[in-house]
Amino acid sequence: MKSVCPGCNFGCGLYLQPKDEEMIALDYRRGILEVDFKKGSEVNEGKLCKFGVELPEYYANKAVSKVDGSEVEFEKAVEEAGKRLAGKDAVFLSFGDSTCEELIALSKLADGKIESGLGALSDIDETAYMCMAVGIPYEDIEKANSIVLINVDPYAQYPLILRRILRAKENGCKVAYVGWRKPRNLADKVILLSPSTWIKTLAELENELSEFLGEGCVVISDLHPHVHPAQVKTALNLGKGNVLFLKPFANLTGLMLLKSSVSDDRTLDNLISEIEEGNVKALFVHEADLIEVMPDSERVKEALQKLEVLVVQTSRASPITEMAHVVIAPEQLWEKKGVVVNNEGRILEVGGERTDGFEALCKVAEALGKEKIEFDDAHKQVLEKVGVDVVNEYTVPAYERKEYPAQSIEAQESDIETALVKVYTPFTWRDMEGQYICLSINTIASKGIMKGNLVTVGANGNEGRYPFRPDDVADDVVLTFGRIDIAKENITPLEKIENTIWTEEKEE
Amino acid sequence: MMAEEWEPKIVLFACNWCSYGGSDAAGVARFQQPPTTRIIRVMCSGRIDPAFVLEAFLEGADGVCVTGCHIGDCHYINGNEKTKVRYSFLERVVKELGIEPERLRLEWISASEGEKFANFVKQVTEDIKKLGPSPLKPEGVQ
Amino acid sequence: MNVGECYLGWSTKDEVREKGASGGLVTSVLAAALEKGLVEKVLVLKKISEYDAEPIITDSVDEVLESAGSLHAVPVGLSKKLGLQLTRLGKKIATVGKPCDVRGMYEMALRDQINIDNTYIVGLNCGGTMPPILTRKMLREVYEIDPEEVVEEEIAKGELIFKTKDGKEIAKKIDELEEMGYGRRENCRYCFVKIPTNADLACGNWGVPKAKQGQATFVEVCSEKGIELLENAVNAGYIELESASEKGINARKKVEQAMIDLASKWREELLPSIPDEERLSFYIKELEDCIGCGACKTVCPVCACGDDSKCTTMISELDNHKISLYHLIRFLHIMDSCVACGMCTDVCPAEIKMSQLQARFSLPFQEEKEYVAGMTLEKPPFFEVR
Repeated sequence: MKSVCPGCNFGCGLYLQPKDEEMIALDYRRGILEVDFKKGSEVNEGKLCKFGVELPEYYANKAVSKVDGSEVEFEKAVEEAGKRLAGKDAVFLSFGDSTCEELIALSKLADGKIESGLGALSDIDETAYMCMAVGIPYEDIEKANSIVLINVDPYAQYPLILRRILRAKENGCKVAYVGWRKPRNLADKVILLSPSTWIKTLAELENELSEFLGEGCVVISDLHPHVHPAQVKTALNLGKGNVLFLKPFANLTGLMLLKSSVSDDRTLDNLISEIEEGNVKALFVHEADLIEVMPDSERVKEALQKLEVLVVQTSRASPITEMAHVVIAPEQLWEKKGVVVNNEGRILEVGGERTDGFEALCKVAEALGKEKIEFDDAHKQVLEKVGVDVVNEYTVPAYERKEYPAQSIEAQESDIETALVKVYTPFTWRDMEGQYICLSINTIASKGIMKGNLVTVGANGNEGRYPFRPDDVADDVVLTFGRIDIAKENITPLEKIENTIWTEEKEE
Repeated sequence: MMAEEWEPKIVLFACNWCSYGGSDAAGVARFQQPPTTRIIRVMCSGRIDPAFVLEAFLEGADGVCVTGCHIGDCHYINGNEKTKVRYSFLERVVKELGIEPERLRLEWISASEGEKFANFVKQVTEDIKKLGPSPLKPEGVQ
Repeated sequence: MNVGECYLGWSTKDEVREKGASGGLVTSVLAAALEKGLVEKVLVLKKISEYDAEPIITDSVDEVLESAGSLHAVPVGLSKKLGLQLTRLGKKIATVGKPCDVRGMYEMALRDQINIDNTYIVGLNCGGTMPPILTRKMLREVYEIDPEEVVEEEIAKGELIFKTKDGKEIAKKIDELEEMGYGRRENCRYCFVKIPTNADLACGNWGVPKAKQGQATFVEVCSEKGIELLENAVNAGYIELESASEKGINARKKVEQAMIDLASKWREELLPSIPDEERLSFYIKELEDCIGCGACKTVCPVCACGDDSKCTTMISELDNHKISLYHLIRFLHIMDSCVACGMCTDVCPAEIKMSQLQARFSLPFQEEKEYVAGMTLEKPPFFEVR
């Protein structure tokens, strides 16, 4: 059946088919699904990145409904969630990893207040919100005169954007890249960031990139709960409306459209602080995992233990489902009935038939004495919000974009010498990136690190040993895409980088 | 000056029963040979997957030699005949990739052919010295 | 009925004849095979739109009948789909297949991926398929019609014809379209196998006399299983047959030869030789954008190693090689067996022309060994070690 890849908000089309029962035992691959390439999809022409190709494995990891750690029926978990949330002033968190219809149901449950974790963007001018939520159509990238990539390395982060950029280059487009790792030979101009001056560099980009800006310039950046506001502001300033924000969750665009503002949202950091301080006592997490998405997972785990009620509705088993008081495990995204909206605002049918997740949210809402909504009404509301009558995967709806004032960026500098920088890819959010670090050739040579050895890095008084890869990063940057235990922040100053010498006892 | 000092690094796969014996014989008989080879002993030349050879090139080897028992002398019936078939694939890939054919060599050397082994190494080293470092050497590898 | 004989055939069911291309013979043969129990399942393309279809394996006769109609703008690889399925469990399956699909199935059979004895293959003549999204663009920009308006497309006499809902018919020369960058996939342009004589039946509209154009299919019986299929369909009352005329047989040969001549012209143009000293940098440049998704391996019909293959287990994301070992191993592994179906090119997110690169290795190699991949079940010469 027709489906949309849940790996990020790109909206790649694909076909999924449940495998023949007899074949499941015979097949060497995990999972009960089989991917077929949907070459008639306007977004991706059947092309998929690793996430899509290995989707059956991703979907093989299913959550089970639980109450206080023991398995229960789905309905029981829903009922229990309603009981426990009653009378509690709960916070509702979602990154939009579900259909728009479900998000509307969640919004009803949350009295219109879904926390998106995008609080860092709250001081950006409201007029620019639409440009943050919905980017320009992918096809326009191919026609661009110049492209500025801000912290988007297509080889690692959103690979499906790569072919659009390559096509643009064939038409004579110039590409500039600003970020932490040089994207092979893609860009004509590369500005590598340094941990001590990076915000200043971003603030001053307009001069540096003057030859790239102007008519027909497209700015591509990423947007997620950990993005630094300076990066988003830079993209908005340089692109003047011609911006495309790539997002890591299947329907974050949809969530942003439905919310119409993030100015009251908390940052994830604030949310956890409030849980630690006891201001937030009940939390409802919708298709997300706080533990996986925060660099410092230990802190999150400790904080979550302080909650009186933690209800998680998710189809995917992850660390948070081990901790939650109530786990509601609905159908997976491919089984859901409903639509998602991708980065460019294209509205896509997910392709499934089931509405269990939607009904669950409605039932919990009912238990809390809130208004109930029918699925068809929710669907209508979505179409209204997007401004279309029917779902058509071949067209991008027109969105009204307002002009916005230039955003001021405070040029900060710090005295960090070397730092461990965490770059977020769609895989990072699901903890699917490899645990290794990228070092520049100069760093490797100067520290005498040998191929095959591990590198010992130290920060905050802790040490860890990791495999490394020689890469095009600045000499003061140690880059990682995956989870590195010693990193407590997204940019962690390093005290130590050295070659690890393996001896028998050290292996202990 | 650098060009004179540069010594190629050659990975040489040798089968346990013949070619490795040949290298041994070369040493015992004191045949002079340049110190350019890194010998990897395998039980049979049939164990040498073409992927090993390609990996050696990608890791920075300037040349790779595959050696084994003479046809008909294989200690595992027909291992070296399989090597021959695989080598025909490998040769085509290396040729098509545009790597100079001198960088990849196949030679049958028996345990008693110490002199042949030494001369082979000498010859290969000379050929590769003429070509210079491999274009596939990764950045930062000497 | 004997192997090697040629017939003209058509469906006896009106609705199938109307919907299907050239008389709906193929659809009816498959439906009959399923209904009469000759096979347990059928692999067909479920049409979603003129530009989109999903390969499905079904045991419902209705679904098979619904699949009628030709789709030039849907390049789906069918062999791999079949390979992961049930023939190894002893289930009998009937399938359609373009020549490259059939060749893929043969190479899979050589590698024990499918059981060819349990597979009934109805081969379709193929002059080439087109990438769907590019075709939509072509319709908008060259034909100046809305892609949604198209109800039928056809390739005839070197022209690509589209018919719209309101009865308009627009034809353009394929040569000219291809010069503009539209038209068939590059792979199809230089493919030499146009009639799948390695299948059990080889069907198509080449060689159908003018009077019956669009109402009948020319079918060549290529194997004993082909006889079974046809006789079964005739006995079940699904199709009618008449012997093909000498004239028709010759006309078919002529069309094939013309296509092959064109293909050799394209082969020179699309695979120009590169001087020895520039080749390494050429391959490094071409493969530089690879993101390591592994899609090209997933779709490859002749790749039979599975998940624990050398190409995926011997590489590491920690390496900084100039060329990925993954590609080198793949070039080597499928050099003898590549059927040039082009699925790898189609699914590459970095738009690397994988199939064209592979062809630079496999075409001269297969020529040297005097072997055309996927045409017979005989052991390839390089499999044979005393």
